[in-house]
Amino acid sequence: MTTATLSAGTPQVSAHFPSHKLTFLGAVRGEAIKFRTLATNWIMLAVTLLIMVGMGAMFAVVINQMYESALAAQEAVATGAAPVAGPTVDNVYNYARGIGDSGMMFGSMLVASIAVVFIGSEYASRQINTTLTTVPRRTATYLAKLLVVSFWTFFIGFISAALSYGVAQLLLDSRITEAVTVNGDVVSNWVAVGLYCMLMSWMGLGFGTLLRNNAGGIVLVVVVMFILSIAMNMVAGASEMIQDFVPYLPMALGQTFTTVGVADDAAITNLEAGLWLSVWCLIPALLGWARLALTDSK
Amino acid sequence: MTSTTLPTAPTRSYKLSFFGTLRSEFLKFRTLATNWVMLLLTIAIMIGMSAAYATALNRFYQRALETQAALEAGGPSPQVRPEYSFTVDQVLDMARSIGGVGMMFGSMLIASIAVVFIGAEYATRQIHSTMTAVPRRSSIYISKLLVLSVWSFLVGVISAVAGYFVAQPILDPGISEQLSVGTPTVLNWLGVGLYCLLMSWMGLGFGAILRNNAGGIVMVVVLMFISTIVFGLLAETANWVADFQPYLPINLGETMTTVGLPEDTDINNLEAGIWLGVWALVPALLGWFRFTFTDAKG
Amino acid sequence: MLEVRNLTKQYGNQAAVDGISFTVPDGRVTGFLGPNGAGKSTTMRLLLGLEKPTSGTALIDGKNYRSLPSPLTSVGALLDAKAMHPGRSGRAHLRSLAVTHGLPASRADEVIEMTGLTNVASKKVRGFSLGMGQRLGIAAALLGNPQNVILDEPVNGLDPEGVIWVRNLARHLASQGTSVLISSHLMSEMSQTADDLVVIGRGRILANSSMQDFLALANNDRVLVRTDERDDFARRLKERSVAFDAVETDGLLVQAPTRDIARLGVDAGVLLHEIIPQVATLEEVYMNMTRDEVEYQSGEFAGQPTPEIATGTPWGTTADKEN
Repeated sequence: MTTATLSAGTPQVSAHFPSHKLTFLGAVRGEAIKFRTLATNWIMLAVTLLIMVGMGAMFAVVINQMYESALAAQEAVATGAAPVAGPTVDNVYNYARGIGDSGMMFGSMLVASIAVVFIGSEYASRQINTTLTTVPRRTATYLAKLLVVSFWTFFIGFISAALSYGVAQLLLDSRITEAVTVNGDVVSNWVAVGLYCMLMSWMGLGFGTLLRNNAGGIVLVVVVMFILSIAMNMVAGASEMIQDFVPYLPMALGQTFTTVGVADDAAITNLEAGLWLSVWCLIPALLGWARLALTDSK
Repeated sequence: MTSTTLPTAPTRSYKLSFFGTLRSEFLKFRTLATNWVMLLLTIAIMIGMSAAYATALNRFYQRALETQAALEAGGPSPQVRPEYSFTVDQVLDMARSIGGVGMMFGSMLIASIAVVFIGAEYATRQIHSTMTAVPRRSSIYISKLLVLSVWSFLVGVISAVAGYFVAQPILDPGISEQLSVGTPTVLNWLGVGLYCLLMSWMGLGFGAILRNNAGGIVMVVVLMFISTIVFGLLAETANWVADFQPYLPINLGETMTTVGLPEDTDINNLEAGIWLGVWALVPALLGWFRFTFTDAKG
Repeated sequence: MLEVRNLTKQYGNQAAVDGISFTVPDGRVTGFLGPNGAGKSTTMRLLLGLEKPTSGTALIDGKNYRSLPSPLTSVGALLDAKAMHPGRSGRAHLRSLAVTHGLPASRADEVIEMTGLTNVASKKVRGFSLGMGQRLGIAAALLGNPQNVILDEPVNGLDPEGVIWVRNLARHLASQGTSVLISSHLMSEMSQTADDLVVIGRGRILANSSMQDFLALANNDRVLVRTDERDDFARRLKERSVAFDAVETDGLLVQAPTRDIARLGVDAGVLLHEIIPQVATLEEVYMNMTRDEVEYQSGEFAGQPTPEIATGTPWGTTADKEN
């Protein structure tokens, strides 16, 4: 600790920096440094990637079995038997195209936690005081965080989906891999997984900012994603209205959003699902912004 | 600053005791406002779910009566989606256990409180004060476990009883007139309390293992919700997966609190409780290991 | 320049800061004194836009903090030690702040060197001691080489060398034209650092003046006299109606000019072997001023008499003499 400068009577202070101004780009760069200099974030991203790719591999095995039964059913129908319920060969091909989203539910929970913690732990450690002193414009701070977290979560979602697809090619039945090629549908699925993770991070950042607390933020995400779905499904028998609403719950929307082979005349198309999901995630993001921008940081 | 004298030597007759530790942990628990807020939230959610489910039961009951009448008249039974079709007896059993329908959600909050009860001590370094005051690690851990157990059991039972009675005026008189508070209902209430208790063990265990609020809650969510979803996706492929599914914690919890299981069922209420106990005990024990045998640095 | 005008901040019914006004001019070190809970930190948080005032204004160079084009070069602030994420290294923390204003990464290394953190800068903040965290906080405050510096309890947790360093830093910054606001409850430290003083108690300003004016408020005309013939001398004093108190076994605290006391001793033929004028310290003035204003009064230890605050007694001032 004892250094020459410390003992020296006068600390050297270099020239003033009149030309340096606070910019939004600077705020984004600051948040980017903050994100990548925390070991936890790297660990969580790595775990997300591993789990999603692992789930993709498991699902490849499932698809192989589905394929066998679909083929058997097809032959049975060809010999005159009555068609049985279950996925057709074409369905299975679409499952294989969309294999990138196998671990999405899992991954998105981790991704949302990363986002909650990105702001929640600033409050826990009082880093937020330093952050808001350096960048006193609340909206700039919030948007900078949102951008950084969106970038990383989209990136990890997309990469995980693409890698899952790649790994699955090694495990899938060769007849499936021959029939399935990387086309627009497949790439759309990867992009959709990335977008889903990104939207989850909005929800996470929003709830984290709203509650200023890691635990609270994560619990709220769990409530909206999982508990709401389970609860609505439980009481769905009570009324048609609830049954109509169930497909618009965030988890169901996420599944629709990434599914390959949704018919053009489906009740909810991929795009519509994505838009509704954005609404679900924008609301917490806006609430978080309001809390940060309009109230004291105490 | 105003006093320069030393305090008088403490009287020798005060000793650290397990009972004292227990009282101290109880004091710590009830002096945190969050815990009371969460308590109210848990009870409110569970009562709300019971009320909502009562309306669903009324629908099921009407359909069950229609089906019964149709069968007696020799006609075809009305078309009902299979997941919403029950017999009158089944509906009555569901009504007996209506106090526990919100258990999944309430228990998630309880598990979060348990995680935070120890995780926040690490976050605030309160843990150092705790361990300095009570150097015996097992005493602290067991005290925390006992306080949480009593509290979560009571919350579970109170919520279930309140949910049951709130549901009565909402239920169709045709159902509620046939109900009386008998052994099955009381067992259901106790089952809900036990479930909440075991969830608090899981929470405390994961909190102590990871020493982190966010991490502990994510682990609980993974074990409770995500694993259930994943196994659900994979169940159609392998028989062992399908065989294992009923032994997942959420399914065990449902089985444990179900009224009117058939005599020859694979897992009866008691067995489900025991298996669930194992699920909860493993994290609790791992947490105890980490708490007792490794340094408190974190 | 920092300007606080009629600033009020209420939490519920309680005013943490109650209509205070003061300025911190460029080129001077202003000490901000007050007991715990007096409203020092709240005032600083209001200056930095972390909280919105209930009424009044807190301006930095005439502007609201939140509307500054370049906050980091306008104000450097140390609010509380370790207001930083524990999982990040000190260098990464500083760089994340520097880039927001487009400052070069080398500037982070400069302030690390200035604060003597070179050896630990790449370690995680989690492992920092209070003093190291305090130094890192000061490093962050100096990052933009700001026109105004706000330091909340900067010497808290620092080793003696660090305390001297902070003192020199504050003096140096002021000599460069910077306005410096330092809060502390260490009076002796403040008396060597500050040019001006703002004393606050229960959210209100108790004093706002230069250090000299402040010390002049004290009762400075007491003189400690020691003599082997105390009773004799005391009788002489009583004859002339000079006020005094007995101190220890051979001392008297006399309320009279030194020269008059010496003259009296010669006239009476009493040997006075010590005649020491008692200069009141900042601490004493402050204690007298804030005694009724402290939010949290220290409890008395059971069964022990509360010692008087020994204004002007030798043992009451030893702490200051050591500095």
